[in-house]
This record gives sequence, structure tokens and C-alpha cells, in this order.
Amino acid sequence: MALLEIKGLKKNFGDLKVLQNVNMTIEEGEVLVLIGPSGSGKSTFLRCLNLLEQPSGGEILFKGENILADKFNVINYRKHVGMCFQRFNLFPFMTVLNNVMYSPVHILKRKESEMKDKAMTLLSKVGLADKANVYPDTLSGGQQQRVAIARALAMEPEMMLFDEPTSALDPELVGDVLNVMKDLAHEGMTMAVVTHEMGFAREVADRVIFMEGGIVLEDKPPEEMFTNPEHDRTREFLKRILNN
Amino acid sequence: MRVLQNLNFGKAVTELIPKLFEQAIGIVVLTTVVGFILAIVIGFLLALGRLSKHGWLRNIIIVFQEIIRGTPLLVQLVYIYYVVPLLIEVLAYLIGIDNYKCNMPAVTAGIIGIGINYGTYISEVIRSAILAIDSGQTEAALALAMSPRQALFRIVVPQAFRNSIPVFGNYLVMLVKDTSLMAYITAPELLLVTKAYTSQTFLTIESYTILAVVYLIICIPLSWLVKLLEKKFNKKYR
Repeated sequence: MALLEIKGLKKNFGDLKVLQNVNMTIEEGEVLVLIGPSGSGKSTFLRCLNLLEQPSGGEILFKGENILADKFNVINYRKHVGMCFQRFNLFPFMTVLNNVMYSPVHILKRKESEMKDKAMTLLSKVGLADKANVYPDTLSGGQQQRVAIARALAMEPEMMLFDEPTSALDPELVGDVLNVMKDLAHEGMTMAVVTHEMGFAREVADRVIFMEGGIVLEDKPPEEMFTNPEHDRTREFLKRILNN
Repeated sequence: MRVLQNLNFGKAVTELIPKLFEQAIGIVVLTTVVGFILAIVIGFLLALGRLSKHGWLRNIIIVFQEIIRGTPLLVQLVYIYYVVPLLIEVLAYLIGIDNYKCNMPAVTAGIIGIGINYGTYISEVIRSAILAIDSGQTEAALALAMSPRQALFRIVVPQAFRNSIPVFGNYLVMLVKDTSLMAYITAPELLLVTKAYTSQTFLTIESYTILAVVYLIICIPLSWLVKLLEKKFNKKYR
């Protein structure tokens, strides 16, 4: 069974139809990269997957269970789906370590001592163990995003969503974040990534999804997507973004 | 000038200042501390009510805030001291308790009045501080499996509260000075004690000058302290 199955997903903001009819399956361990022009609905789609946006119609099945059903436990579901944001959204009044530990300790009720070790392991993994006791505002954007990844991983999610994780970063800081994400992909984490980093897509993605106008226009492995796109719109978009 | 010849600051200082310190200062400190804590509690509750999803609650609070902000604090104090006890007696009569006498000490009335009045103003400070916190903070909290309530109380409110502290400080200094309004409802604070002393001794210039200086001695260091707080809390978290 697919980890996530999305059927006929719709999202309107007033009269604006951001998602028209999105169908997709995400298998366990798959890495999806969502690309497309701005306004194509890829971020909205990603935010629908952990219900930060409430879809207007359609179905999202998580291991066969419809997460849009009335009595579905959204909070419990979010324990299984981690998310990283474009603007990191670390909690500025907590140290880096507490950012990583807070939800596991206070929401999942993990033992604080065990969680501290785990948090330190995660921070080492993203290369920031030495920053455990500083506040996020003292870190660079790239460092903050890596902390945000560690924070999401501390919840032991089954899937990770990345909403343009490198778009707010200085170019020279992008690589470190992408490397952490590559490691994560190689470890078998299921990931859905909205990004403009085509190198990352080419190297790591199992499938690249091109969205436009609130629908999925193309959905294929990266080699095919980059060498032989089916639609003119895809070709135009790739040409423009690859020439930059 | 007769007035100048009769000036006797020495007498006024040695007699009035001990009087002020005996009781009046205590009342000012008590009203300030308890009134301010009450104001923050009320302000916090009103702010949360204004952010509630229930329209009726928001409307009740808006009406309440308009009443408080549309009437002078002095009138509110008079109302709480003279009218509210009568209303309570009427209420007691209506529910069948005869001859209930409601006595509200002036200082209590003052603390309640100042608490409600300042709470109403502070509620707007807290409300806008909560609204000013980036929505990404709530989203991140939700994505980490917090409930909307947990996201509000554990992530948004602590930051909003910290950001409000400098503004709280300014209200604190204002509050200290507004305790003088309690003289009108017979609370023996600085102004009333001074007034009583003046009517016995006719040392008008001396007494009220001393009174003004005492307020300055309280308020100037307090506003320095507030400025320090402002500096500390306008910085980023380090």
C-alpha cells in the first residue's frame, strides 16, 4: 500500500482555484521533487499533505486512511509527517537543543535524558553539535535550516515535507542543507521536496513532478523529465530555470 | 510678600515626610504592585477573549473595552467605591438576603479600578503582540504535532509576552502616578495625606512641593529601570 495516496485534491482560496485536481501516490522510501512556476500550487499542495491548509475537496489517504475524514486525528497524524519551511521557523526563545527536544519531550512525552542524547546525535548529523546551546538568531540561514531539519527528525517521522528549504538562503549556504537532505534520502526517508534546485532533483529524486495551474502536468523519473519532457510548458520552464 | 516670609520648609519636611512614609507610601506600593499584577492578568484574559473564535465573547469584550476606555479612570474609581457596593446590596436584597451591608475599603476599590482600567489598555498591547508574532511560528508548532492551543500558549504567547514587556513598563510608571486619583475616594495615599496636613498647617507651598518631589523620586528611577528593560528586551534572543 502506498504511504500516501492523493485523489482529486482541490484547494480554493475564495474564487482562486489553487489546486484543481491533483492525483498522486507516494510510496514508502520515495523521494519526490515538485517543481513548477510560482503560483502553480506546489507549496499549497505540500501544505495540504500535513493539513496546514485544509483542502477544499478530494481525498488524501495515509496508509489507506482518509486524513480528511471528520474524526481523523490530525495531531496524531502530524507526528508521522515532519515539515521544513522556507523561513525555517525555529523558535527564537529556545536554544538550538531545546528547539530539537521540545516537541518530543513535551508532546510525545519522551524521556528528557534520552531525548537529549538523541537530539545531540541529530545535531551532529547536521553538523551543528557545537551550536546546541546557542539561540537560533545567532546562526546563519543555512545553519538554521539544518537545525529545523534536525528538529523535524527528532519526532521520528515516517515522511518529510520540504517547502522550498533553500530558497531563503545565500547561495553559498545552499550546499550544506542539500547535503543533509541527500543523506536523509539515501537513508530511505520518504520525502516530498518543493525546490528549484534541479541538481538535487536530478541526483536524488525518484520522481520529479511538474505542476502548473493547480494540476500535475508531468510526473516522471528525473532523467526522463530533464532529457525528454512531454509538454511544451515543461520544456520552457526547464530551459528557463536550467539556464539561470 | 507675606507668603514668602512664612515659608517653613523645615517644619513641613520634618512633619509631612514621616506621615507620608507611615502609611501613604505603603498604599501606593500596594496599589501599584497588586493593581499592576491584576491589570496584566485581566489584560491577558481580555486579549485571549478577543482572539477567541466565539463571536459573542469577542463582542462582549469589545463593548467592555469601549466602556472602560470611554470613561475617565477617576469616574470609574468613584463608581466602584460608591455605586458598586450599593448594586451588590440591591442584588443581595433581590436574592433574599435582607440588610446586607457591603463595605468596600477605598484601597480595595482603587486596586480593582486601576486593575480593570489598566488591564483594558494592556489587553490591546498583548493582543497586538500576539498578532505580531510570525504565523510561521504557529505553523512550525502545528507541524511538530502541537495542538492549536499548545502552539498558542507554548510558542506564541511567551514571545508576545516578552515583546510586550517594554510597553508594560511605561504603563507601570503611569499607574504609579494614577494612584493619586485614589485620594478622591478617601484612600489615604500620598495626595490625601498631604492635603490633610495642609489643611491643618496651611503650609500649602511646602507640602505640595514635597509631594511633587516624592512622586519624582519614585517615578524617575522607575522610568530609568523601564528604559533598561526596554534595552534588554528589544534585543534578539542571545
